[in-house]
Amino acid sequence: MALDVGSSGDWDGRWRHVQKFLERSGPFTHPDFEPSEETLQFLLETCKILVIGAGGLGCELLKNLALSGFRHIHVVDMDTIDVSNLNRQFLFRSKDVGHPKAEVAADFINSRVPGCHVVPHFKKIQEFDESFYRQFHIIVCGLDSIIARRWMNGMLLSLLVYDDGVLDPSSIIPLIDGGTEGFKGNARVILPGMTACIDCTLELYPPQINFPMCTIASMPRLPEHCIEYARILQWPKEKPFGDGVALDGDNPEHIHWVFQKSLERAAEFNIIGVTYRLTQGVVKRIIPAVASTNAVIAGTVPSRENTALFAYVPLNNYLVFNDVDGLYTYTFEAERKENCSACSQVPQKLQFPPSAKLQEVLEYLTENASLQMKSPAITATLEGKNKTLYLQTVASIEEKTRPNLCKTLKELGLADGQELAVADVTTPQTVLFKLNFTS
Amino acid sequence: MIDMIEKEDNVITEEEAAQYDRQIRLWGLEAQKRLRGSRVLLVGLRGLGAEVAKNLILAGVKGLTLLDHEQVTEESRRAQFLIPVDADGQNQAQASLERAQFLNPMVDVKADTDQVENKSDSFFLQFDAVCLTGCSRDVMVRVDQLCSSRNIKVFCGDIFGYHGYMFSDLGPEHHFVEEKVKIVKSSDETNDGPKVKKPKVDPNETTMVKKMASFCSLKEALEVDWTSEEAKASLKRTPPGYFLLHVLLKFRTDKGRDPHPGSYAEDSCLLLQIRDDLLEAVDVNPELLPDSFVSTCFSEMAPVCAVVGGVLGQEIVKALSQRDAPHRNFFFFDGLKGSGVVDYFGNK
Repeated sequence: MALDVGSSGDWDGRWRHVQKFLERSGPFTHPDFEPSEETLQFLLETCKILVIGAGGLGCELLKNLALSGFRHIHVVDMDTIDVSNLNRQFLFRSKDVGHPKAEVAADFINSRVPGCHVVPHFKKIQEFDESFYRQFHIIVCGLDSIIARRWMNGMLLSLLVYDDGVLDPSSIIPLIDGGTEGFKGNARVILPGMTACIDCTLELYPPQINFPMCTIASMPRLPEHCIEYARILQWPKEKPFGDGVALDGDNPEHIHWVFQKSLERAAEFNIIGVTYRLTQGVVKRIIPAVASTNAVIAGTVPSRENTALFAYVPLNNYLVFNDVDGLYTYTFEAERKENCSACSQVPQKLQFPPSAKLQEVLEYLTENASLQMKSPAITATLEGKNKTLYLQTVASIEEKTRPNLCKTLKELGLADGQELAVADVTTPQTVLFKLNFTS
Repeated sequence: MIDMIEKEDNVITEEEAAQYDRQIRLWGLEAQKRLRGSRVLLVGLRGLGAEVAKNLILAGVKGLTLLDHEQVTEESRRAQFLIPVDADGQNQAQASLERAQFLNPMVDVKADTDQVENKSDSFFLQFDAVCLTGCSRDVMVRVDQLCSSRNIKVFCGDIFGYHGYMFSDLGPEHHFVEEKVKIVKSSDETNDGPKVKKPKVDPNETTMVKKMASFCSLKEALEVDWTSEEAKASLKRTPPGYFLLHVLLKFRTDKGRDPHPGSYAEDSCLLLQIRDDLLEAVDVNPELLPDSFVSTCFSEMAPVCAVVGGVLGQEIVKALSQRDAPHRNFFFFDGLKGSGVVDYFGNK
């Protein structure tokens, strides 16, 4: 593919419209912001943007950013291309199936937009540390997991610098977070340390669809119930592919087994609708997706970006798009949570009687709506030493610390006012809790 | 014989099922099959055209004809992602063809280099839907009149800098289905005893409901009588995008092109003049479209193309698949405010 080898590759007036935007001091501009020719130059020559995710939103974002004039873009994605991506992730074609998304996306943009340089990273976001993230002026996320979003959120919060309790604005890296599902989507601007962060609004995320066990076990009505019966109850019992072999959603033989079992169950209860496709969807928790929604949400990002980059005024920072029943767009200002466990710097409290078991603390950490931790590891300083009270993610340690779950806080040697350090996949930094004994 | 079998082929191939999986889960197999049997004409391959082309090709229509008589310029090449960097001087539709086809080999993508004004009536009648971008008002009105009486779905759309609109005429009787949730009364409504934990969400049973919507012609939609009391009263709620559209269409008719950054001073003057004349003629206060519009309506902003192209693309998909309620009949997007409005103009 021939590359443009012009000087700066610009014609007079190419960025006229972008220039117009930056040179206007609109109603939302921060009083300290002086729009000028220099701002435009900065945007084009220096601004380094990180795009996280090269999937549905990522592809659209890269296209929009490149066409809008950003020249230095990095993209991170740990996935390879699957055939089911092709209905919307248009930077990829069937010959690219199996290849890393970040690399194929970067290639496409680099060979298509003169002057634009996209650097791909076929990695997980957790494989990078602050030195990597610190180099960017702005970060845009097109992720498919809340856990990853919270991790990113936590990382940017950890970069904030406070001088005598005052936040140094130059340490703020704006985060634009977008998400889509079917015909719905949202985009929001987060200025870490200033505006609401991901964890501040954790309760806005709808709960995952989980069916009550009693329905699955004895009163199924929907084909989904039959599938969950096969997945949750029959598979562990019958171990169809051997001991300890977990159900793999990408293995057609596994899905086929679940499908057959689901059909049998459905027949028993006269339920229609069990199909192979539905079985796959339930087991893999597949989310329907289409090109247009991603196009719209990604389209709203560049102007929100300019707002974040240059305005720094917390305004209506949360846009919701819903094209299910008519078209509904709504923007509002998400408010910071006063005692947010991620961004408030307010020490988090744990209130339990000394007779409470460690198990209860664990349940609180995972089930509390504002915390929603996934597999927390709890450590305490006892007799001057760091002691892991419970850790799930390493099998040998889990086994060793499991007995602690049945012990009371008093039995474990914990005292009133004690600090507990909790680590979890939802945050790159440990969260400190203060233990208060209730009577 | 083979053609007939093809037309009646109601079976989705394995390849299609795999590729379209994520969207079949959204709008169902029936809708996908209808798309698969639809032929669409797309006029204009600038920024908006490229976005619509992408969305329709990815969705899996049977065929998409790209019609554009203009040549690729440096400006147009940089506004859209389908034209390769070395294509200056080529025809715009032709230059977009290869990448457009790559998006989905299962769609029959064609390029046509004729001018839309020169196409005979019969040309348009071979399509199930027509989407006009960058066209003059006269052409849009003519094509709309010709097509909507024959149940060919008509769409128009343009981007003017940070502003964009789309219009649809699905005919006087457009039938479609909507999926509605069956309200299931909860059997356990007892609230005594200790506070129960919030029950986890269960997908409800849904049912398909048949509906009908009617649309007026583009001519009618553009020729609203603003002198009536009723119209005057609704002015406050009218999106300025509607008046902006009129101004820019008039500019296009008068100059044979859209406002160009290269002739900014001259074009700005003309735009303001047109605005004054137009709004005065319909007895509407020129302040409803303030002077500032001039500095934000030049060229096509890529992200605005993406938003309007996304909505427009989905409207075409909905109309062809006859599933889900269509927007009636305009969508205006203001890229500066990030606001989108659906509104109906014309007799209801």
